[in-house]
Amino acid sequence: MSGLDTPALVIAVIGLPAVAALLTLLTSAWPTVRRWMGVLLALGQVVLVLGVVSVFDTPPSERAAAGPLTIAQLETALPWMSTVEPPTRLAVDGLNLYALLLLSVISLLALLTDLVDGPSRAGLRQTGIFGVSAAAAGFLLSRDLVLAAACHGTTALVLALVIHMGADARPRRPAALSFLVPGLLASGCLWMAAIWCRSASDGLSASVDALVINVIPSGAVVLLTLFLILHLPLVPLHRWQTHSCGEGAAYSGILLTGGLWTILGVSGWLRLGLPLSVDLFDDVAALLRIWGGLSALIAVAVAAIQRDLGDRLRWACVGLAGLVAVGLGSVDLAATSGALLLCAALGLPRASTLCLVCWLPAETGGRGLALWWGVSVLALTAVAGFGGFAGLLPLLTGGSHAIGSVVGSPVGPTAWPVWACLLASVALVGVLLAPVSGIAHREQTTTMPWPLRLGLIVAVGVALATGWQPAPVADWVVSDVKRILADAPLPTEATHQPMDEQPVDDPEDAP
Amino acid sequence: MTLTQMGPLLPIGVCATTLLAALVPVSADGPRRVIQSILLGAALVGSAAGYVATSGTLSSSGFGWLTIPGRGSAILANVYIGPESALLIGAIALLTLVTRVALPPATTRLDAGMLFGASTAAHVVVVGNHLLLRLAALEWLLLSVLLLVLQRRASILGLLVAHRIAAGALLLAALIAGGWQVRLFGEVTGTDSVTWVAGLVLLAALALSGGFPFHRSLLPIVSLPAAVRAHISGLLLLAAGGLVLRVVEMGDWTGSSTVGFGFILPALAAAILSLASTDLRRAQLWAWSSQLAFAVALTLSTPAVIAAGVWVCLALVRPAAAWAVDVVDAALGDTADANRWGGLAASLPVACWMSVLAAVGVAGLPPWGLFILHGHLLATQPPATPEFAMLALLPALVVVPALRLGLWPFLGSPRHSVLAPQEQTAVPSPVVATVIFSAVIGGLWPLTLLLTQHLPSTPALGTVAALGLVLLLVTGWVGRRRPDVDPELSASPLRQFVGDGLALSNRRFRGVTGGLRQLAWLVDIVSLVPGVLVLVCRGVGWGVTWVESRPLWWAVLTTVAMVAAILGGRL
Repeated sequence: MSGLDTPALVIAVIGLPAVAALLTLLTSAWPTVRRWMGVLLALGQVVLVLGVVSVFDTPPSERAAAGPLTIAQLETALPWMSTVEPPTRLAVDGLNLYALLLLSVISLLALLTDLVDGPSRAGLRQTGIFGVSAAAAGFLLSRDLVLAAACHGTTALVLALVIHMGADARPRRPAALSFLVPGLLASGCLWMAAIWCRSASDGLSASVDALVINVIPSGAVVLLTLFLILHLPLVPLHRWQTHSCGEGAAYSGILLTGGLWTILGVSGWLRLGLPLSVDLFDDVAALLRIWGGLSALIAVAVAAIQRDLGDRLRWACVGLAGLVAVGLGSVDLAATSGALLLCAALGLPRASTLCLVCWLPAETGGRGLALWWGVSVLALTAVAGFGGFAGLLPLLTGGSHAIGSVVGSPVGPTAWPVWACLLASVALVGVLLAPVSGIAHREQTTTMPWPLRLGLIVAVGVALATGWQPAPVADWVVSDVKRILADAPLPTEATHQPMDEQPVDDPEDAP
Repeated sequence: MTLTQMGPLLPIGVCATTLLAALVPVSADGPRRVIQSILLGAALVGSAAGYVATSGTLSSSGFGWLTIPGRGSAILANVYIGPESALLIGAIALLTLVTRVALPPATTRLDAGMLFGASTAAHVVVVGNHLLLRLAALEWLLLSVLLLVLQRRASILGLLVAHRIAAGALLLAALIAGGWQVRLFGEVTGTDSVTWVAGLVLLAALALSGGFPFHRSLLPIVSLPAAVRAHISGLLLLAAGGLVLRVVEMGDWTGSSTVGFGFILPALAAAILSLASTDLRRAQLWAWSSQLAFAVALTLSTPAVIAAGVWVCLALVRPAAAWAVDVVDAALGDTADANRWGGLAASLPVACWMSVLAAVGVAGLPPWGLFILHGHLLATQPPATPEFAMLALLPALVVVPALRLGLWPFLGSPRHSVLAPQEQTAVPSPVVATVIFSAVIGGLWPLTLLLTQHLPSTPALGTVAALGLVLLLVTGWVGRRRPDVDPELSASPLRQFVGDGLALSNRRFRGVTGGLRQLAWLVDIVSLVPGVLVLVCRGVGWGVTWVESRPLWWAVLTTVAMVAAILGGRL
């Protein structure tokens, strides 16, 4: 099968979960049938995405896409709003492939984890999970800003609904609202940017392929940047992370939010926002670097004093988002690729650990749970040997280069965000491991539900696999990031050339 | 395939076998113990074969691991094996086997798995080629240690802080080694880069294994059983040794004894703390901390193969020393502080033998290995020079605490009335045999290495022998008589901070006692620095938490102000 003649796969990646959502509604009167059908369809989605991965052309052949854009593969037209807009293009590229894989796996895990919340409104939650999956796939595949905004808004709404439908005994409303407000705000930003860009380009199209050749208004760039920051999250716009994944949310909602929301924002901004921000690239990059570094430091300090395990974890997630922001703002092939890889690699561990913390009763513990917690923390904080480190290392290595080149001196006063990242990444492990003492010394009164255990096993397994063999995933990303950064207005080429040739695997370099 | 060609493969096999022992899926204790012993025995044989097969340094091919986009080919995950690392993995294998034999039957599968998992990680820390590979293994080692420490209720904050400093220093060293220094440290030369990397790795070794000022990180292990305590401290020591030996191999350290002298200060500080402490287990921990700094100093001043023998010696005598301390502690019960030591040789002969062997092995009395090693050190310096005097006194920092701990509890007139029942102080015969075997091997190993190299000159040997004997006599004389219990010693909380103070037998020494106690208190203040930094961070965190708890408009205002400040500052 050729890698470029199977566009039906792309439609199926969106269509299958959409159909599954419909079938779930129809079969909600028969819980067993609904549950098994859901699992089978979610497995089918995983297989489908693996099929997309298998036909993906790595490294991509030169295709129609020109300029600072990702190279579209498996392109297909979607006649959506065709009287107003030209047919929208959907495509797979190196930046959304990992996110699609993550989406399918997390959807499957969310379906299984949903059992922990009990049978009440389980049908609605399952419908919501498939709805989120379909809408998020549409957002990830879209190369059109209007379609992306529509899919993004749908994802936010349905995901808030899933979060809202947690167990009856818990306060649910604050969690869902905390997520919905910034979620819809981000959708609004994307939508307004799309309309603004489209009108600035004589109203021809909202496709990024068409928009990239025009001058983009500064306001649209601000909106696109705000879209990213609302997703990451950075202090003080972090409340959706610290509130929505906490008390009162459904487990499946926590899993979807913790695993997907950040990668949706990062992947979407890299594909749709960054190519359109070329004129203000310098300011956007500086904003992300400095804000990310500050946010990481603040979040680590706050996490260190939290008595509640969940609060500590959620603040740690805010700190990790700061690292990603610094990488994205470094505008360097290594750092930007590293930021995307880090963000993607943290999805599963973050989702599973947030669920674990949400379940963990205050009076339950034991050394087995402490072991699970310790291993999850290693996976979540991107220590060496886990998937996140394959992103953190390029991020730190490349970040220092880009900063040096921007300020025109080797050391430069703005090199501190990289130091902040290094400090935060090292300190976060200690901050999250400190509560292990409390967990270990409690009596084990409850057994961990098997879906949560399965989620942890999958998360740790994937983190270990990608930690020791990260090259295939990195290969998907690198060529497209290089293409996007080719037109960046920073003096990357001249300053980086000598360092780029420096080998890093010389055994003599390392003690 | 010849044995030499198999050299790099044998460490991988040893790691795999040890990991298998950690993951044995048998729930019954008896069969599991047998299977684990067989596997660990095979690992020991494999490591011995690897040591025999290793002549020169070899690297395995490995596989492509981490890629940094735009920076050349992938970092390889492979092993680097030389005579020193082969020796260290042999020591880890022997230590693990000893621990398996010495573990009490009630040890859970989880605990045994974590102990042997830690051994596997320590193997990789020693033989990993790239620094990042060692860092990856180190993170698993630290997690295992942390979870093992949690067998008993203990505060782990100090341990965590020290371990994060170690991991952070190694990560930074790896980044510098990968070319980061050009941007973050200015225009530095290759030599500077090596210096930075070496300094950070030495810092990591100190923090990892509880060297001063990170010695308080070892406190959580003080309440663990002897086998676990010795295993953890031995593994951390050998892992630190692997890092330091690789650093020495990386750079040209010829004539760098001044760098080594820098580590005399941590050794001295820890030795003072050990001497001032009357708590038996704490005194042993501080003595181990002193030994670490001593070993680092020695490694920077002597040939690598001989230095590796020191690390092995110090690690392998620890099971015997830890068991002896536990037995004395159990025998004396609540009165195990230094004021009550003495007269136990007749009552606890087995513990006495273990303790004396361990002490003598570390102290380097003739004909034990470190004795020859001290002579070797002195042979490199012309007599009657300050360097000669300093090197002659350096071993005293290790010898005096070791002799005090090893001999004092057993000297003096016999005591029977204060002892606990015999079943509480009995040590199983297999445990006695293995820990004594380990101590003898450890003690004699540097001697073996030196005999294969060359013997030092006679004056140097004579100086060492005289110094060792004097120290032995002084220790015996000071510890022979027991003092009356002075209630003043346990009154002050400040004194509790470093133990209850040194006990000496005669009122004439009371001034020395008080002075040493105050000195120890001052020395230990330095170790509060990491804790103060943590407190400052917590204070900042509380402030930000208060701001964060304000209504939403605070968030909006802060965001606007932050964006304005960042973008405005760039205009």
